[in-house]
Amino acid sequence: MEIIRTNTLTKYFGTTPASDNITINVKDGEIYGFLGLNGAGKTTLIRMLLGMIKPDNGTITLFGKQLTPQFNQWNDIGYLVETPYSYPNLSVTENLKVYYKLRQLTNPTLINDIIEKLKLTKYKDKKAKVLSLGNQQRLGLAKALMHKPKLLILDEPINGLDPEGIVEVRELLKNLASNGSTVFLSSHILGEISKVANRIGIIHEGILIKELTTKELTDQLIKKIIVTTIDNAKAVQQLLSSNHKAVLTDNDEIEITNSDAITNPENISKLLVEINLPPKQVYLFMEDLEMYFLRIIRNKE
Amino acid sequence: MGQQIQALQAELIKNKYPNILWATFIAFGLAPIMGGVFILIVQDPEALAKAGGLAAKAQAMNFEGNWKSYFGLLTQAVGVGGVLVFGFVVSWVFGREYSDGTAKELLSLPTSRTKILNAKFIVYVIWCLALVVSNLLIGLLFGTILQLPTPETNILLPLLTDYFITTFMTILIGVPIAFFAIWGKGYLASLGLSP
Repeated sequence: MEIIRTNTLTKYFGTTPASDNITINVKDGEIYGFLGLNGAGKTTLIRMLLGMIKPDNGTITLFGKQLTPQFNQWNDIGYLVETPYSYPNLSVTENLKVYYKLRQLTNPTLINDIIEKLKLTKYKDKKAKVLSLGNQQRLGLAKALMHKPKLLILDEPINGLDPEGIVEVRELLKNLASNGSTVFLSSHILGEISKVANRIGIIHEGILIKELTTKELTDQLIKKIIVTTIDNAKAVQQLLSSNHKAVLTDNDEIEITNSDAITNPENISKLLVEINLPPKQVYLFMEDLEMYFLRIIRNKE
Repeated sequence: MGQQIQALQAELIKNKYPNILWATFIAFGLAPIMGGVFILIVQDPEALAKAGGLAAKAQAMNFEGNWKSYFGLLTQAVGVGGVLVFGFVVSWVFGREYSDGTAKELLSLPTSRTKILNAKFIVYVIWCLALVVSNLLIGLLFGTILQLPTPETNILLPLLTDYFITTFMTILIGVPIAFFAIWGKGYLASLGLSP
């Protein structure tokens, strides 16, 4: 079942397209990562998905129902949009009580359960204004998760979290997805998204420029073998004559890009030893996700 | 109805500890205190002579040491001071969601936006009524302490009616101020509108 479906979703701010003909589908149980630089249009799309702003064109369907002012499945959705703000003079528990009431919930244990789950027990009576940025983020997540939503829409959920918090949120999202919840999260940190998402959409200047699974993403990353020997020029000639795609770089390193070499780098070592040019170093270079992201964006410009 | 009650409960939790709550009661409570001072002045010819400016003011208002005069002063305080204090209250209740950054969190909930706005209006009305009732109680206390002549029942009722009609009309003035708090996304525009 499609949990989120957008069709040619468009939103302009003045003459600037914040969202330009975006069509995406997110299926049940999927973690969909929405990736883009700051200002790419991620938050605009999320705000449209949550009915906070109206698109200029296009439609949104959530749980098979078109998003209109009459849409009434908000208790199936949890969300965190940009910086999670809370009522500064209220404690963590009181802040959650406000949303407990506004969500018309009827099980008071939900508040303490989510406080424990997000490790906020120590701070439950502390006023929100004295919480650290990381704990404010946890409180924002607690508001989003308290009612056990089927769909979670999160905008930059790991902002401000320390490494331990990042791992906890990652595990939390994976658990939610494995229990059948669907997660739609945006971030500008590709490395983080690739660790949790099943599918990734890349947005740039309001346009969805690429959509791919995490496996497709890994396959598309540039990989190459980097080798140095005592005579790199001679080694390149020998590698070329052995049908390897080898080039000598400006850094005086040999780059080998054919898939045989990448799959079996030990063969390169063996070959170089046989021609009396034993490698000083051999390693597999893999393009990191940020470089991939920037490459994709630049190719589109 | 259940949704509206839950929305109201949420709104009451939000207003649990606002410093502005006490500030409005203190500011609004100045009127009956001032009235009490006027009574003291007009009751004591010696004090009247010494009080200078205050005495002149009391005389200019034709203030007399009786309940009718005292209630008149309290009613005027609601009509004039109320516009200002109620304006602050309504600006706070509606504008705070923008200054606290929580407005966007209220947009995608099972409780409709209309019910959230209704809850805010209810809190605003309760707050204003608490202010005017507290002023009334302070006034009654001062009037009793200062031994104002016991009023006749047929005088008291129209005085109270005037007091609460003025309250109702002043509360109504807050409605456009609430609109400006939302339109201006915060306190500033609405406070600017409050006289």
